[in-house]
Amino acid sequence: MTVSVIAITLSLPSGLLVSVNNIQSLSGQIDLNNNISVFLRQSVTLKQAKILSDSLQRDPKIIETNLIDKNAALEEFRQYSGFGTAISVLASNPLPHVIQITPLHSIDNQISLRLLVSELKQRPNIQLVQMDMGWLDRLNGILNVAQRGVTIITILLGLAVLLIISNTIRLELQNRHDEIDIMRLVGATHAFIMRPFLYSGFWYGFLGGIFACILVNLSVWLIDGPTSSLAMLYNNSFNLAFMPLIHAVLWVTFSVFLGIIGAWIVVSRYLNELES
Amino acid sequence: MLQFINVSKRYPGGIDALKNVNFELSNGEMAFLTGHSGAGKSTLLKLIAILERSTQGQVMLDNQNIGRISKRNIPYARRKIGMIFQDHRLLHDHTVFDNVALPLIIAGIDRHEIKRRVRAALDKVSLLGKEKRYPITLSGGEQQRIGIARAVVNRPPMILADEPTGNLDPALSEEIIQLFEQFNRVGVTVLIASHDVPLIQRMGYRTLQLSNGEMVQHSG
Repeated sequence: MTVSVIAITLSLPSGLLVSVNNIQSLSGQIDLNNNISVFLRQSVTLKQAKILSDSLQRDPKIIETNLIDKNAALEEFRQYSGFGTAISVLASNPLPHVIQITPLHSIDNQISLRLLVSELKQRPNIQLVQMDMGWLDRLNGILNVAQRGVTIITILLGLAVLLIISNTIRLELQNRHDEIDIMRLVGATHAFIMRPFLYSGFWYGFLGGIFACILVNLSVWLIDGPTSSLAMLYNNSFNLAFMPLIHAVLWVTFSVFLGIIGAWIVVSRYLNELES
Repeated sequence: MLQFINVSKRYPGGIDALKNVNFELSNGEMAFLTGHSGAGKSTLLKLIAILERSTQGQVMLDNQNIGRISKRNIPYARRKIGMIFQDHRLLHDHTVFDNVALPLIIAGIDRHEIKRRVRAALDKVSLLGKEKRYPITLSGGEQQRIGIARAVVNRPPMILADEPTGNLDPALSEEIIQLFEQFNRVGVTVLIASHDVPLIQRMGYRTLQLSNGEMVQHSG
């Protein structure tokens, strides 16, 4: 009973942590195909654009460039946007040539990315350099908030576990009141009386922690199927990560720690009250 | 061995359980403590067992003021006293052997030695052969003897008994007291609280009488 309450209580923060980690790795995947779009001036011909694209390709800070012909882009837009007839009305192609750049540095290295952007901006024939990292920044911001939230929830629920264990041990103490009295009378030290209760605290914490990890991984397993089919719809292969072993070990250790501390507090208070 | 010097005990609420009690038990002495119920017998025993502390005066056990002993040292002081209770205070979910072995387990004595000493103690109280039984399956007199075996198993220099014959018929009571006499003969100091006046008179030992918390008589 106590073990399952502890397991459920601990599975909440550990489950949240697993979710946050998964979202983080998802945003990490997005980082990899984080491109810079370079919009050229309308006056730039396809030939000039090709030369520019090739020269950019030689820049060591750039992994790959991809030139998007404005005519091809318009055709694509006509097909997929549903504005086909509206576009036919246009006298000339309003779209510029675009070079898509895959930079060497990922989003983690913001300074060098911004440096690259400002370099590009200084080149002639380039009208606009767009690197839409804003939303990724925001996502990372949200994740940081979520992580802080998980920390707070962990502390609060950790306290809850401490109270659950204390309460259980208190009941055990009451049940064994006579036995404890007898042990005191024949000269048992506090450490001797306390030992079995510390063992119970240990087992409550240990089993609670183990079951919490099982619960979380079971949930991940249940959610994984729908998630990957959802990711498939976005042409993305994404699998939820289970709780890493090191995290599981840390959670169980945390839980065991709470169990022993909870038991220790209750029993030592109880014994100190008995001894005048 | 045991000395009370001007000992008073006042419980919260202003009830004086003991008033200026003085007496001394020398090494190897056997004595009875009598008095009507509420006279302070139990309080006096509790002071010796450090279950209570005196409000005034000194309780000396083995030249140590046990009223001033630190919490940490209480268990070690209690190991010098074998205590016996009217209600036996046995662990009913443990065998006779485990009950008697408890003080030795607590003292951290090795298993082999425990086995030997428990058997010796049970032999003294004529319960050898009943080690594996549970206390509840034994008679009142036998249960009391388990309590006695537990009290003497770690060979304390002093035995305290609180109404050890309270629930027993006269013949059994006498048997129990004779057990105490045996221990006394090998040098153990014995103090028995009892209100069984005929028994006490028959035995003819020194009697300490309490009345309303005062020591009214200590004849020897």
